[in-house]
Amino acid sequence: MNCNDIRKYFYAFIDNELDVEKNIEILAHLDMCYECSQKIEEERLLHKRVKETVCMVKAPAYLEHNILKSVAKKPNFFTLLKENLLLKSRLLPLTAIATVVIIAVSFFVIQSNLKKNDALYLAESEFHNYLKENLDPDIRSQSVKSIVEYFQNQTGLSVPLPVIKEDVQLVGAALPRIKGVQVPLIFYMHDETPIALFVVCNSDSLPGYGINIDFSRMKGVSKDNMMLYTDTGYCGSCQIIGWKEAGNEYVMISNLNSDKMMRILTKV
Amino acid sequence: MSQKDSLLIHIDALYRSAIYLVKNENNAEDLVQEVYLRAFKFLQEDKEISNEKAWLFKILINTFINQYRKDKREPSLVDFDTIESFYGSIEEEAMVSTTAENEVGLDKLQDDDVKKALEELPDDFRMAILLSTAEGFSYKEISDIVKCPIGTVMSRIYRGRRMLKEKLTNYAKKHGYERE
Ligand SMILES: [Zn+2]
Ligand SMILES: [Zn+2]
Repeated sequence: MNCNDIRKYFYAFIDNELDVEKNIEILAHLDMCYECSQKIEEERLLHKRVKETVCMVKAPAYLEHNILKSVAKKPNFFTLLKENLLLKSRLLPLTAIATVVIIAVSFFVIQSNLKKNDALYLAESEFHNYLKENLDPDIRSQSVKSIVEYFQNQTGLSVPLPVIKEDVQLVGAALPRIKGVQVPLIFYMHDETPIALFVVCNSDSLPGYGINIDFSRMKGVSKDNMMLYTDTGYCGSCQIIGWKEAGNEYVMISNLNSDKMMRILTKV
Repeated sequence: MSQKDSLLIHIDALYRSAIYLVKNENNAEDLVQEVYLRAFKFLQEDKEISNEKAWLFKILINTFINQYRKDKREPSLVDFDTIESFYGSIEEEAMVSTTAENEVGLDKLQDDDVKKALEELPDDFRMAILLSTAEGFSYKEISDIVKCPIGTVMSRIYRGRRMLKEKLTNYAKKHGYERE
């Protein structure tokens, strides 16, 4: 091979990528050709230089710390719930991933300067918060009694829980304060997608505290002798279903489609 | 040592490549962080990883191409399926380059010159040089990391180093004149 042929293999030679035969051939040529041996020295020098320059760069010390911190982030409440509470107590089969139902009972906290459907907005935004952020409920409980007691102690008022299908599992409650308004939330687990159920008590039974949702602006559907009102949430992807039951108003918010939500409500 | 720790050994290597790929410290940190988040997520699935460093670089290159590179493919590149087709393609080029670079003081180059020259290379060539020259991956490993035939990898390494040398020779000449 002449010098030009040899030089084609220089990089592969430096990188140790040639087979034994080719390697010997190159070495033999370098032994007898001054020009080529000069040239390859130059390539080696450059190679070393580039390697040194690139390898001078070190990751900032805080980067590793940040990475580990972001991985160690507290697991989402619902993940924890699934792992601990539900699996240990065998409330649901291991394969079933639970869905969350959040009930917000608002009758005693909605202030008079809020517009009628602001209550809906507050309930939905809290629903989002609990799902997306790592928020923990104030109380974890599967008993209706202890949740009713919790709200009674915190607010001095009695919160009537709505009637929900048996396969919807009560798990806890929270009383977050948003925009100066306390929104009592009751968490439930169900199928695979989150649901929020927001309860507005009849203002007549609790004078001075109540607020009514304006169902007249929502689409009405009659189902099982019950009038259901449907709408899309402010986020554009949640579905909202409202109804009246036992003198109270209920609003359910979820990522499920409305058909599924109706099946949770109506007792088939 | 946990598996996470053994992956974190490569943080400097990933970071120095990242900084040459995205050309800014903040983006490099984000990119490396993203690589580790993806890697750790994968660890949770209990899958086997045989070559950790190559595997991390594969995630790095993939994430870089998807998130940072505007033109996903550089149209001027030719794929060489085999090593032979690559060597066939450089037949003429080798003949042309007979300039005497050895008279130019490449040894007098500054770190900044090397940095600048590297940064000016097209993404694919720079990637090939970072993986081969800086990180010492084999051509086969690089071919797996950048998902290209080995002939293409060799072509990128060859052309990349050629371009780099040309740029550095020019810088060295410039410094030479300045000194006179
Ligand atoms: Zn020669
Ligand atoms: Zn929503």
